[in-house]
Order: sequence, then C-alpha cells, then structure tokens
Amino acid sequence: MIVGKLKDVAEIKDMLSEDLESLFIIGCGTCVSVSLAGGEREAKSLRDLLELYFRSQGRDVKVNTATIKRQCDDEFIDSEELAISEHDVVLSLACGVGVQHLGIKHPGKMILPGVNTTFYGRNSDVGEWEEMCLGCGDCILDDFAGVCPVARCSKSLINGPCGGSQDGKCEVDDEIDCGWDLIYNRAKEIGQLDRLLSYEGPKDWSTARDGGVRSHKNPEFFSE
Amino acid sequence: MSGSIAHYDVAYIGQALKNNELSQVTLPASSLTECRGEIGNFTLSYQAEEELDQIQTSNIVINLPHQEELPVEGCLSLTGVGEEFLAEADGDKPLIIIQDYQELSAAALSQRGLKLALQAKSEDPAREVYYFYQAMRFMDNNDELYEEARRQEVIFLKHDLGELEISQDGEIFYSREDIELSLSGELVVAPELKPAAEVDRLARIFNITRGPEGYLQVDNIYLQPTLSGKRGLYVLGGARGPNALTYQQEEREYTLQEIKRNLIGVEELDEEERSVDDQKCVVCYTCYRVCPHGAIQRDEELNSMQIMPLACQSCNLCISRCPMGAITRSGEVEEQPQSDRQVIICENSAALAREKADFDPMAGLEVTEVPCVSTVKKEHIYQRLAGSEGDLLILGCISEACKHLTGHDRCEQVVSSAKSDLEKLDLDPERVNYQRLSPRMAADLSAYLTDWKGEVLQ
Amino acid sequence: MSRIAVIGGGIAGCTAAAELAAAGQQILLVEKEDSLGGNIKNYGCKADSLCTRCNLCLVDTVFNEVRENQAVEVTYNTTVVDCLQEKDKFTLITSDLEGEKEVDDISEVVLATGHTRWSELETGTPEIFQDRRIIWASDFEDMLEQRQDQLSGQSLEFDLGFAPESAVFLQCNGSRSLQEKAQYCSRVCCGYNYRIARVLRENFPEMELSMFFIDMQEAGFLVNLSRRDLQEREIAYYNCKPLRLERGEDSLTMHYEDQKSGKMATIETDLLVLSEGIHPGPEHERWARIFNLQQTEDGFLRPIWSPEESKVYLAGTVTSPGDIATTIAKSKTMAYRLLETRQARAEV
Repeated sequence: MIVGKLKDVAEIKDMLSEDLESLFIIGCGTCVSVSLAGGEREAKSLRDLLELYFRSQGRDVKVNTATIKRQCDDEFIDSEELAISEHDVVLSLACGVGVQHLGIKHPGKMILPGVNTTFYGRNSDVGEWEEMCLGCGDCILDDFAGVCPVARCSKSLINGPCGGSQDGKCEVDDEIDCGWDLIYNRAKEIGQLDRLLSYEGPKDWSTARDGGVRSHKNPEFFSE
Repeated sequence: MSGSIAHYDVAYIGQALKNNELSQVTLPASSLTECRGEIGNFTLSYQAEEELDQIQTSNIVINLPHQEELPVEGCLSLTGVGEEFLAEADGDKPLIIIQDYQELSAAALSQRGLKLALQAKSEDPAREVYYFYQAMRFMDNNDELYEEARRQEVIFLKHDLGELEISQDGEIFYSREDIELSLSGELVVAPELKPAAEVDRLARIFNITRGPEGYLQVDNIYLQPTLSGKRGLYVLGGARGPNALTYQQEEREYTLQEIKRNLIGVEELDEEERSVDDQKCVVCYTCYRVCPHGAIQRDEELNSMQIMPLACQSCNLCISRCPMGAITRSGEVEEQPQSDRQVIICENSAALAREKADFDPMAGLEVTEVPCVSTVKKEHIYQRLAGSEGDLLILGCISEACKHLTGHDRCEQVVSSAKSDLEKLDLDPERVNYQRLSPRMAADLSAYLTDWKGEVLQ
Repeated sequence: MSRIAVIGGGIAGCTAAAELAAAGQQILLVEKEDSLGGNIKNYGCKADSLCTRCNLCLVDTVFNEVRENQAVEVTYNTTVVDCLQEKDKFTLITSDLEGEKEVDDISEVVLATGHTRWSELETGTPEIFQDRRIIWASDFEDMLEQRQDQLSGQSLEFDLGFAPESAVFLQCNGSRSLQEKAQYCSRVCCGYNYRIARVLRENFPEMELSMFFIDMQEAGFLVNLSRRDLQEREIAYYNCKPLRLERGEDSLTMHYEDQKSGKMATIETDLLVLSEGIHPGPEHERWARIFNLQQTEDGFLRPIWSPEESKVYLAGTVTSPGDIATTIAKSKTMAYRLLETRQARAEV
C-alpha cells in the first residue's frame, strides 16, 4: 500500500499565504488513512489546530474539511466539487497522486500537499511501516527468494551485498536490515541458495523511471 | 451453521484443570489457528487431523508449562526427577541440590528441592545430601520441610555467602571464609523458568498484549490473578508469569470459580453502545491493534470492524485512534468549554483521589470524567484550547497502573504529539498538561491543583 | 427476601459484598468502625516512577460500589456478638451504640474481619517505641498517603521531626518467630518494605538503605522480589536478623552476625523501620465459637464443614495472611462459591 506521513505543521503553515481567507482540507479514505497520515482524524485535528493558530494570529480564516474515499478517482471527487469551488485553497491529505488528480479536475484552484508520500510498504507494527517495493515495473522477486534487492538493499544491488553489510545491518544506517542478509537467510530457509549463484545482468531500468513517465492500458478495455 | 458446532463451558489450550462440573475440551496450542467471538461465545478454529475444525466455548484457559533452561549443562532438573531416580541412586555418591543458582527460584521449586532432600534421606539416611540455596521461600509447609530436613542432617549452604562454582564435569567447588568444599555427586538443579512455547502465536491469535519477558499476562494489577486483558480468557502457568508455579493452587481455584461465575451470566460493562459505521470503516485494523482488551474483530459479512459488546471494557481508545472517525459511542457529547480551567480526569484514579480529598480540589474547575484518558482525541485538545483562553489539564494513572493497560500511555502519546505541534506553530504548548496519579494521592492532587489554579489565573 | 450478612467492611468484606450485590443479592454489611476500609483505609500509594503493584488502586472503587449500591445496607459501629441458627436461617445478635439487636432472616454469613497487625498487639519493649527513630512500616503508610512528590514535585516529608539520611528495614518482625508465637511467614512484609524502599530511593538518591531478612520472599502474584532488584536500587541486604540494637545519641547501631565471616558486625542508621507480621484478628475465638469454626495452630480460622454445608464463608485474611491482591482474589472466589451454591439450590 502507498504509505504517507503528515507533513510538519510548520511546513503546512508556511505554504499558506498571509491573505488566505478560506481553506478546505480534504482527507483521503484509502491508503493514507490506513497509514494514519491523511484520513478523517488527521483532517479534523489539523483543521482544529490551524483554526487555533489563525485565531492566535488574529486572522479570520474559514477552515473546513471533508474526507472522501479516494482522491485518485473522479467519481469520489465530484461530490466535493461545490465545496472546493467555495474555498480559496485546497489542502489535500492524499498521496501525491490525489493532490495532482485534484489539480487536473480543478485547473484554476490552488491545491497544496499536506502529506509526504513516503513509499510502498507494509505495516510492521502498530503505527509503524516499512518500505517493501520501489515500483520498478519489472518484478524480479522470484529470483531473490521473495525479498526485493531493489527496494530493500539501500544500494539496490542485485549481485550480492556490498562490503558495508555488518551483522545483518546496513552501513547506510544500522537501524536498517541489510537486504542481502534477508535474501540470503530466506533463500537458505526455502532451499533456494543455489539460485543466488547465477550472475544477474544489469537490470533493465526502462520500465522504471528511466524510461520516462509511465502509463499503461488494460487490453481488456481497448480494441485494436 | 453454528448449530452443528459443539459448545463447551471451557476450552483448555494446553492442560485441563481437574473438575467434574464443567463441560470441557482440550486443544493443543499448536493446532489452534483462529479465535473469534467473545466471552460466552468464542469460536476456536483448529487443525484436526487433515482438516480445519471448529468448536464453540464460553471461556478459554491457556494453561501451558514453562519452558525450562538448566543453568548448568548436563545436570538433572529439579522438576524432572521422580522417585525412580532416588531408588536407583548410588548411595555412596552425595546428592547435591542447587536452587537460586543465578536468580532466586520460585517457592514451589524450594518445596520440590526440600521434598527431594527428605526422600533421599528416607531412602538412605546415611547418604550425604547437600542443599545450596540463597533464600528459602515460603509456601504451604516449606518451613516445616526445611526444619525436618535440618533434623535429618541435610547440609544447607547459602551459596551467596561464598563462591559456588560448577566445573564442566559436574564437580562442585564451594568456598567461603570458613569453608572449602569440593564435591562430586548427583547434581539436581532448579531450572530457570521461561515462557511457554507458542506464546507468541497465541498472543496473535487471541489479540492480547504480551507482558514482560514474553509472558501472556501483562504485569498490571487489574489482571490478577489469572485474567488476561480479554474477558473470558485466562492465562495460567507458563503462559502467565515466572512465579506461577508458586500460585498453582490459587490460579486453579480462582479461575474455575470465575468461569462458573461467568456461566451464571455475563453482562456488558457499561450502558453505552459503541458502533462502527461500516460505510466509513476502511478495515485498517488500527482499532484492533490498539484495543487493550481484544474486543474487536472484523465482521466478515460487512467487511468492516466490529466491537464485541461483552468484550468491550469501555476505554474508548479505539474511538480516539480511528483514522476515519468511524467509531461512535452513544453517550458522546460534543461540548464547548465553558471555562478557562478545564480538567479531564480518569474515573479510576483522579476521580477517586478527588473524592478522598477533604475539600473538593476541583471546585471551580470544569471537570470532565472519562473512563480512561485515552478517550481524549487530538482534536478535543485543540478544540478546548480554541474555546477558551485558559489551560487544559489531563489526569491519568500512574505508569503501568492503567485499568486499560496501555490507555494512559496512548493518551500521553497523543498529548505529547499535540504539544509538539503547538510548539511548531509558536502556540504555547504549556497550555496542555498531562499528569499521572493514583487514587490515594488526594493530598498531592490538592496541592498540585492549588498551584495550577494559581498559575492559570495569572 | 432473606439477606446475606457480611461481617467486616475491609477490602475482603467489601469485595464479597460488591460481588454479591452485583449478582442481585441483598446484603447486610456489619462494620465495627464508623467507616469502611479496615486496615488499608489510610494506606498510601507506593509508586516510584512506575507502579510497584501494591494493589491499592483496586480498593477504592470497591468501597465506593458498596457505599453506592442500594442492595447493600451498611451498619457502622456495629459488632456481632452472637449467632443463632435455625433450620436454614441465621439470626445475628448485633451490638451497636444503642445496644443489642436481633437481625433475622440471614441466609448466609461471610466472615471477613481481617487480621491484627503486630504493632497493634503492643508487645515488645515500650521504651523502644518512644524513640522517634524507630517506627513501624505502617507509620510510613500514613506518610505516603500525604505524599506530594508525584504531581507537586515536593520532596517526601517525614512526619518524624527529622530528616534521616539512612534507613534500615527490619524484616521478619512479628512472624517467623517462635518467640512471638508466629512461626509462619506473613507474606506481605517483603513486598511493602521493598516498595517503601523504592519510594525512598526515588526521592532520596543519596540515602543509605539496607534490609535485614531471614529470606527474601516472592511478594505476591506480580512482585517477584529478587536480589537483583535490590542491587539495582542500591539497597544493601543482610541475610539475618540483627541481634542487638544500641540507641546512641547520634544514631542507632544494629549488631548482627555477618554470615560470611561468622563474626559480629555493626551498621549505623538514622532510622529503623520495623516490618510487622500479620496476626489473627482479636475476635477469632468468638467466631470459632459462634460459627462452629476451628482455629489453626497459629490462631487463624479454618472451617470444619465446607461453606456449602455450613453457609459460613471465610473471606480474606481471617484464614491466613495475604496481600491486597490475594485477599481480593480469595474473597471473590468465596462470593462466587456462594452464588454458585445459591443457584444450584434455586434450580433444585
């Protein structure tokens, strides 16, 4: 799932211009709700905090919120069309996708991001997430015992660990597990160590960002 | 469908407790795959032979033996030697019993050690028996056993008064100022007790918080003697804690009686109704994970989370942590603060301390009593600050003394996050205060509130 | 509707009364003093920065439940002087400020009159107890009830008239002793003095703290006292009872046998805290007589017949010493047994 993190409130405050009269905070009810970054709870508490702030500044700024199921689909956004048009600025608590989708739908409106889209990850403990996937567009998990060298090795090495692997930890930060240590241990566990012996040629990064902006179509919806 | 599933009064995971009145079933911990439902009506899924099977039960008891670690390699364990061991013993070799080798052993192990020493003497009064210990702990008739063992000339040595060493081949060296001893014989040592096998998996299946060292009972006064955070689920023996052996009898009696009490009828713990809006719920499992009482499960038909009314212990933690505001309670009122001195107090600590004070220390304050301070949402804090120019004080319980186990810690997390956000916006974080106290701190509370009122008024 | 009589309004009696009332029974609670609470009425919280599991947090809710539940009638300043049994019913003869009364239609009796603390027995050497440097552990309870260190951040105040720089705790005082006619272990003293020592350590990091034990005990369901706990908090421990106390002008000197060397040694202290063993309650002989009970060698009560037959249920420390948690657990168990028997009878 896409994991996000609510931006620092000071940063959000700095995005808002001095002459702002009304702000519409839109939470997103899917990925960023699950990663506790931009759902209704965050939207409402941010509203209350900003109201408190504006009041302390002697400013009369109208702050409203709504949380919709997904900001990356037209149909959910439509319901908030009127509300969006009634506010100066929209602060989207969706991932970067939702923020931009709102922009596409509302060309003349200032849409600000309230959340940093951090990574594709899993929930590793209550309130804790871990990166698992980089979205490279060409999955190679089958060759690496189901542990991704691209996402989980800090250097995305695909032919074994670097010299900085120490006691299962990464030299970039000793809080990070060495991805190759994880690959090795899991390969050993499932009896696939031999598969790690084969040399992997350079990864084709054209399916990732190196091939330019990506888009794709599901053939079942298109005729030749 | 459920009509065809057998229903029992109690399901034992591990060993059953002896009794003739309850209908019961015993399942091995390793076979268990899922637990759904609540007190009175749990459904347990387990692996039976080839296929998955289910039973229903009103109560669940996890009763598993401790795992043992012997502090000395190659010796015998005090819990593992029976009568045949003594019968086959070579009387020329001394029997050496050691307890408290590193940490103090449980009183129940003292008892076994003393009984073993006495048995050895009754088999062969001439046999030398050495007993190394640090503290002889009391339970039942341990003191009589100890006196008797002394009369039978068992040699007791407090090993913390000197140096006790055990060599690789089991030879004992003991020295202190007045004694030098070198012994070899049959060595029986009190094992160190560790949590039962499978406790990790069981904690996940039953969705209960684990306590210190991995035991299934959180070290919290509200969970004595065998309660888990989840109503109707009891943890005993090696699932419960390190000194469970000493309290075996109490564990057994209390648990059975509690189960029988439950069978007379279980009621909801408060009158409020808590419900999840299935249209808003995004099934993120946050409520499930933070619930200290394992009272939440996923409704498979609605694909939304549901709160089980009998299991719910009314702390409101799920409500304050739900990212979608999907959980509501019937008694919730949106209130606008009326005064500049607002206090939110926990009914289990501050409210009791308030009652105990000679004069109401909260006179003149706007007081909101909550079942647990975890009821407080971040937005409540900001709203209250916005609604007045004054301060907000939240009074929770002493660390590790929260009836809802993690409730007060969760509140503190919310408060400190709110304070840090206030600071970032150059708003005064000192307007929000979080303090902890116990019901018996009436004097402290009165003194503190006098100061606080004074400061707020300035 | 006939009532269940609970004798004693301490934590044992109140736990039983609250459980029974919650299950729909009518209760008469007889309390000899003018308020509920018994021994633990004025105990103080013994948390340092963490809860030390003294269990006091559990009790006030129970007392409140009893006060607030309409199904419980509490008669204060009242004692039970006799009991008549006829068929299935008891008639209690009670005595209060106005004189004796008969209370009939009592279906069961829960006896929960608790224990006596060693200090209340007033044995020992009187001149010792006039020395303000020698106090009972229970005196600490009163001080802790008045503590203002947690919220207000004030330092712990001693109600002694001086500020001690060192304290010695003397364990196994008033029990585990042939001389004091109490060979049993009271099972609570290690726990409370260890907790008091922790509070002192937290408030006075420089204070010298020591404990004399015969043996360290497990201190309840939750507190497993170990040598390491004491070491971590720099509480010195001595595996013996001191043999002699010398009261000098500047300090108290304890003479003890150093077990390691077998020689006499001394330790000086500003303050001596005496633990106090739990002894049978003063009315035990009367209870044994009027409710047909036995007394154990140590003087505690033991049933002759099972409570299901005699309808007399013993709850709390009337049967043996125990801490708050054990008392609550035992008392609940008795209440549940009573309910179970009632239900079984109702079904017949």
